[in-house]
Amino acid sequence: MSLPAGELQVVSDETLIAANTGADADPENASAAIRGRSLGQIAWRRLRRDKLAMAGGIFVILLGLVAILAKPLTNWYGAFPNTVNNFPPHDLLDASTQMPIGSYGGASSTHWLGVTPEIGNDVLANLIYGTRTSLIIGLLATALAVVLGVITGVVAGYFGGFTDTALSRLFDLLLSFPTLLFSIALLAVFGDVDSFAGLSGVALRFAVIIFVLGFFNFPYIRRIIRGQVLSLREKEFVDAARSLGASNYRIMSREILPNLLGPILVYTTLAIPVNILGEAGLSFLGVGVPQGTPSWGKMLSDAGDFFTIDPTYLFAPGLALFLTVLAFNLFGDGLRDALDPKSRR
Amino acid sequence: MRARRLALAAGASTLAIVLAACGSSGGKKSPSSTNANNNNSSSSSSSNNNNNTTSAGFNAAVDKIVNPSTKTGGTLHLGATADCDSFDPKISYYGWCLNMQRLYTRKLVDYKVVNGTKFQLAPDLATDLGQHNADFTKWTYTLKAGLKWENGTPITAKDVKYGVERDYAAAEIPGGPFSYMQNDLKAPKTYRGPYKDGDLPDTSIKVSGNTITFFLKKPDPDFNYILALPCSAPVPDKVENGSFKGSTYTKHPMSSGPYKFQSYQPGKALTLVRNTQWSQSTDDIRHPLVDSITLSIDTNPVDLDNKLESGQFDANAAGGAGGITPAFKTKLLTSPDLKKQVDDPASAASQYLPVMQTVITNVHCRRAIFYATNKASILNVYGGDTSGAIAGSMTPPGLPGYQTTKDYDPYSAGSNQTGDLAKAKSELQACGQPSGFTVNFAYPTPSNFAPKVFAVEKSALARVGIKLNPVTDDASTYYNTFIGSPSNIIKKKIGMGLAGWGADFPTNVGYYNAIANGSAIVDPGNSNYVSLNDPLVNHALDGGAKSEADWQAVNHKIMDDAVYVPLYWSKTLYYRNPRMTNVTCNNALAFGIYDFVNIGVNK
Repeated sequence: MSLPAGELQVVSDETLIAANTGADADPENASAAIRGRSLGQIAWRRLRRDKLAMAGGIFVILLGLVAILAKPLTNWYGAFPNTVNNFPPHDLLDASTQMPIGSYGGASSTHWLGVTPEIGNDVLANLIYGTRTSLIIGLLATALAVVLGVITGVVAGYFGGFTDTALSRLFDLLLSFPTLLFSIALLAVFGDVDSFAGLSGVALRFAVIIFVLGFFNFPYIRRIIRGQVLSLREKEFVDAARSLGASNYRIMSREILPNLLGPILVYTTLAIPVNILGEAGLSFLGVGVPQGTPSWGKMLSDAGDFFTIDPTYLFAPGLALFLTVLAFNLFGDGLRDALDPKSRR
Repeated sequence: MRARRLALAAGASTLAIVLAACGSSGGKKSPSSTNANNNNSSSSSSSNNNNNTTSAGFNAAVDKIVNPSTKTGGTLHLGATADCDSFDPKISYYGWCLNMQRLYTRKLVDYKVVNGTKFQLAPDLATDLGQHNADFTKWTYTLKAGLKWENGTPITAKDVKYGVERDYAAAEIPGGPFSYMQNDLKAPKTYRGPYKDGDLPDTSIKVSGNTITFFLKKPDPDFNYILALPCSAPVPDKVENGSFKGSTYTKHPMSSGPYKFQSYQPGKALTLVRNTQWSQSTDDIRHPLVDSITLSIDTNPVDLDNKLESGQFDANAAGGAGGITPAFKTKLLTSPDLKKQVDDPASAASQYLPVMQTVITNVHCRRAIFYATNKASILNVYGGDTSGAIAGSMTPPGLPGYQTTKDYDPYSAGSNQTGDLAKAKSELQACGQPSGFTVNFAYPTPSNFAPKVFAVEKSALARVGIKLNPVTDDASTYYNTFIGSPSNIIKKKIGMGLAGWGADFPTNVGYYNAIANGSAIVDPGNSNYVSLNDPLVNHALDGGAKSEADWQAVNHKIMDDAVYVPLYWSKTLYYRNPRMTNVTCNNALAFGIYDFVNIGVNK
């Protein structure tokens, strides 16, 4: 990810925005019109023309709606994630094998994607509520990584010298950590903690997962931001602000930060699927979200015991995870292209 | 008896996969039996000549001998997902390892197949089942002539005494079901085993020529069952096996049986070959056929199942403690050809939910949980009919006093065992919490089954307003310091848990003592999770129960106290390679795993 910051900064300077917004001309043919548009407008026009990115974006929005509307959706659908269907009179499982009765994992008009072996939970209802788990953890962990990364990156890049060296070495150390092992260990330790910082139960578990994922991801964005800031701080507008007596804080927050919006946005979009996969991975390994909380990773792990006899159960969460990660990545790639003035699209 | 929990036996099979996978000390299991007839004299010497034989078929080996044959030679290939806890007879405690001990360890008495169906106590090294005095405190045995160790030296009564002395060496060789012997034998309180304190005095065990006499501190009519445990087996006096002594004896225990160690790589493989010093004329319990037996440890349960199906392994030696995966189970049960090669024996083991009376003090509150529990749903989580039969009370089949669920089901959950919500609600009224209450439910992780059982129980109890909170602990410490610690139970306010238990030997004392005797409560390491301390039950277990009716009363009293919700009596699924001959389930041991010492192979 490399955005030519210098050019972005010039275009985005608010003073350059002209009133000429009515023109709908192709920017490649009408260079005069470009100067008249904001970065946002240009990016949006480019993005709109990228069909894959738009498809990804629409999928992401739908996913968000599913997560928010999980409760009304399952009410309408008529099945719920933790309902047990393995005993009379609602026994949907074979008596001797405890596998769903019927093909495709017991799919029926009341259970569209079938039910789970042994317990008979509805797969679609779990998938819907699993969306919630994935997005909450994916978004919050990314937010944590971005906040930490931007703050430490800007500070290190702006001040340079000893501050930069100290911070950079410290966080490079973090990059060389065996992240997965450390996460598992940390989550296992917190498994024995009943309450911490006013949180307990499911909320505590979520918080720990979010912290683990966010904390181990932030050095990546920190490095990108620091690189950007290193070049930005040498620009004339920064010199100008400084000569006018602006404080360091003001320069960082008002002059430099707005110019980082592009890379931050792109990084965020690409980091979300990584964190969603992270949550699924931890849940798959049994150290993720607690029992009773639907999670795609946990569904995958459960399905692993049965896929040789009935792969349907494996497909549902696997496909959901695959499509979600693909959608975020397509959207993120499209966004990067749209924000890159050198892009030839 | 100091706690010897056992493992979650239960549903056994798959749970153990998880345990095995994480290398924890999972399923110590204990022998259990469907046939509790004991103490019948050694009866005739005839053993396998019976008309109870068959070819193949589902459950064929449960009460018959499949593919009877006298053909010798070949190699029996066994697999397991984890190694034995130990091959030292003193330490070995996993049920399947007690079964492996039969290959190379003889005891004064052991279990013998009678009529191809029942495993009963019979003299092994001894000439009979012992002479005892009137109050069962003095037992005398005489060794047969011509018994030899694998190195050709004779097996003596002093070796038997030395083997028992090793039960006291807790520092050098910890573990094993040694507490049964310690609780019976009249030994000096300070005795710390032969390595530190030399021999036990003659007032404990007296050896005279080839006779040995045990002096007990309390009457025990069932003493033979304790002698049948491998930890009562002889070990060469003082010398053990040369350089393999004390803690390294497990690497090459001296064989007294038909097979001896050829090579052993801990955690990987064991090869046993015929012991030429063993003589058939001294042994009517074992009729070995194969030349050698290999045990391969394959930590991947799916891989192990594949090797079973392809014939690379003849049987899963661990069976219940590392059994077949759900996928393989479905394949076995849905293919008519494969199903013929499957057995599903019962064992004297139960799966149950301890309800802690120290935390939920009101008996009506506990009974509300009993009535609201959905036993059918929980059994289905564990695999349904093939994993067990719904239990109405605690005493499992095979023990004196056992009653079927149809005959005795004091907290009946309705005809389909899904819960009696009306009665549960009236018990809630009686307990003063008509809208329900909140309970912390403990279970071990990681586990394939426990989280699902929790989910199902949570949904069942929610029907009457009882809410469950999960409290979990690592499977390696769960039984010992989590629910095995009465103080931890109170500290963490654990109201319920998940547990299973199998009898160490098929008597009520072997089954109940650790889980129901008030004097067995310790902290940690407790197996009486509910801290049951009922005078009637204690009295019966301390020797007061004389008849089947007495044991029935014990079962009824425990149910009245409402401390254990019985879920089901366990059954375990096994796959037998068609090339094995003389196959029968050892119903005295290890959840009915095959009696490998008498098995032969075709080809």
